[in-house]
Amino acid sequence: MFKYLFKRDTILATIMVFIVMGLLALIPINTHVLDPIKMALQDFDYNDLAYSQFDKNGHTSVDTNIVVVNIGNADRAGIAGIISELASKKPAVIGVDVLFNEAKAAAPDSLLVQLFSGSDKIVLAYHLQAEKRVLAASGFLWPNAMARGYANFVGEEGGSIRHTAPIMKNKGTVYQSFAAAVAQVAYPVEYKKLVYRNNRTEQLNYTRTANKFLVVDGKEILAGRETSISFTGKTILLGYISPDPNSIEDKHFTPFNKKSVGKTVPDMEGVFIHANIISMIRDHDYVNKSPVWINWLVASVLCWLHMSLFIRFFVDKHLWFHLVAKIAQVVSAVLFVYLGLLFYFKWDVKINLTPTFVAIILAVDVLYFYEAISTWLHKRFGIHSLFIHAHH
Amino acid sequence: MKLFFSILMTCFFFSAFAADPSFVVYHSQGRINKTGSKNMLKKGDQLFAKDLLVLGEGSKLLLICSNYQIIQLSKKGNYPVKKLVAQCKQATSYSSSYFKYVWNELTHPHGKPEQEPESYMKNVGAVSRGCNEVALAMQVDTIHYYSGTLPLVWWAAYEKPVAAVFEQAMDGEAVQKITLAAKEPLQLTQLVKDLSPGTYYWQIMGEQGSGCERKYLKIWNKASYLKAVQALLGFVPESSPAETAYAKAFLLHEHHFLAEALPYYKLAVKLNPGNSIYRTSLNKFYETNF
Repeated sequence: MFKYLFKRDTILATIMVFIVMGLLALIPINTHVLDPIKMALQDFDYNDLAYSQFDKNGHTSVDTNIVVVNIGNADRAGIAGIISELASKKPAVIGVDVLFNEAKAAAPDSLLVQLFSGSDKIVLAYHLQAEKRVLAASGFLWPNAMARGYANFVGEEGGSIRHTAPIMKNKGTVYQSFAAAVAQVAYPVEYKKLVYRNNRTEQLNYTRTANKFLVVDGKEILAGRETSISFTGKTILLGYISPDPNSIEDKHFTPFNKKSVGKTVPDMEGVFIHANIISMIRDHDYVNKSPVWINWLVASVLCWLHMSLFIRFFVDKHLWFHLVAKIAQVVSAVLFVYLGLLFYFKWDVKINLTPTFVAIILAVDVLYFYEAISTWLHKRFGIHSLFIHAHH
Repeated sequence: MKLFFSILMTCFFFSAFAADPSFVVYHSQGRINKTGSKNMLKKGDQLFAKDLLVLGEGSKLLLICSNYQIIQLSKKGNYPVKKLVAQCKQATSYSSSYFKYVWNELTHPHGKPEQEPESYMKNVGAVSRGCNEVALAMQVDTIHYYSGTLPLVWWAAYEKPVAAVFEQAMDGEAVQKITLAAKEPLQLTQLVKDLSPGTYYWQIMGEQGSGCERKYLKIWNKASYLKAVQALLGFVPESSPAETAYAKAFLLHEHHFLAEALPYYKLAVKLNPGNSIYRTSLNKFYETNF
């Protein structure tokens, strides 16, 4: 394998692989137009396997600082009652993950307006409409709220939720996500760290499934019954959790879903996704992406090693060349996915191995191209290369 | 029998040569005529190859082709229908459709959510309460009605909204339906015209039937209605005429006798125009900024 590692042709062929990759990237077209696998896996990320198959963060304990209150089928008067009751227990913040789309009845609507406009510790969710890159908040009551945030996640429509945009800016208006707005009130120092990261989007580091958050029934609160859970100083999130496991109301796909590809049912309520984001901000437990230069350095080194192996068999044992090349590609793919997942699983680092995969896949074809050019250069200018005496 | 058979065959023969309509009007807006007709084009009108369309300034026309394609005209001018037919045919070719699809896909590379978040924000992580497709100035979940004027100011996200009355809270066919004109309040009198006393449900919905939760509507008979109203008004203590009128209006409003409350609000404002509470309460019936 290392016989040809430092040969000029190995290095030049490797460089040619990246030149070809660069040229392909320049073509401004979607080359996956008729690729059913690519179309089917549009919303697929290998890193999802870390959650769904390998139980990433499975050891995480129950989050006792965030309490989810299920509003169930409470009407607006009921929701107002739950918020009032909770506010009296002095929590750090109350996040109301409910969209009020229209005026309903004067009395309860007035109660809610009074609650949202009277405290900066009650954060109301709203819907951020995004059409043709123009953003606009919509709904009812949110203009009255002192603290508010959009409940939108970032992802393919109906796809897995893997990202959040903490802050969006559009035409001079700044919009804050619901989770970020809640974190700003409850964990101002950690919120500043989030802002300091200055990332347009953050990859979600799901640390807990729904059953690892404390959940209280809103009816209990409304009835004034004592619960074993203390609300003082806690982050309270009001949201809807259906008693029916097959309900899809405010349910979304997450990487926890056991079925990563194909038809399945959503697995997590929006309020728990917000809870995961808040806990990620609070614990400064972000997923960090490897720098671009590292991705390309890894791709270059691995492509170089593969090229050396491919040239060895191309020149010396051509009969076995294709078989070895295919085996090497498959083994490498399995190994690199393992390593990529390992970094994600253990250290929350996401490495983009796409350049590495593409380089190794292209290496075989580029090698034939390089051989043809070498032969032509030899005939025309007498330039010697490894391929001149190759018999195949 | 022979004669009947001959006539029948002749009819079939000539029917084979009868011209099929080239288009059916799906939507028209503004001043649009076809030659030989003084009437404006309206939904459902048929257009034939010999016709010439005349579109006025600011008008818009949607036509359904015989192959169910839709073409749109929005520029002022004259359009021979014969030439428009070609526009339908262009899209029907399997080959052209296929390559059009490939071209569209090729030239629209798929983006990445993390790089263009504003294009990937359709998933909303919150439960919705209330409808965001229809809005009414007044909170009218329940209406008790017998007669009288009750304008309901509305807004709807639908292109062609209709108001419909049903006998059931969900599903079922509408027993009454009226098309709503943009920026014109829905007149309840018109909606419930000829309906016999009973319990109904109504809603503003799209042409296809999509809509929000239905609202409760009880149509009373005269005797019961007057009795119920009188019973409510019996609770109102006598005060100044304006205050008494307002108290009556408020009580009726709270009990959802809206058509009955409106004249009392008007009377209260008339008797004491300087009272801002009276004016605010009356203005709610005509509020348009919602």
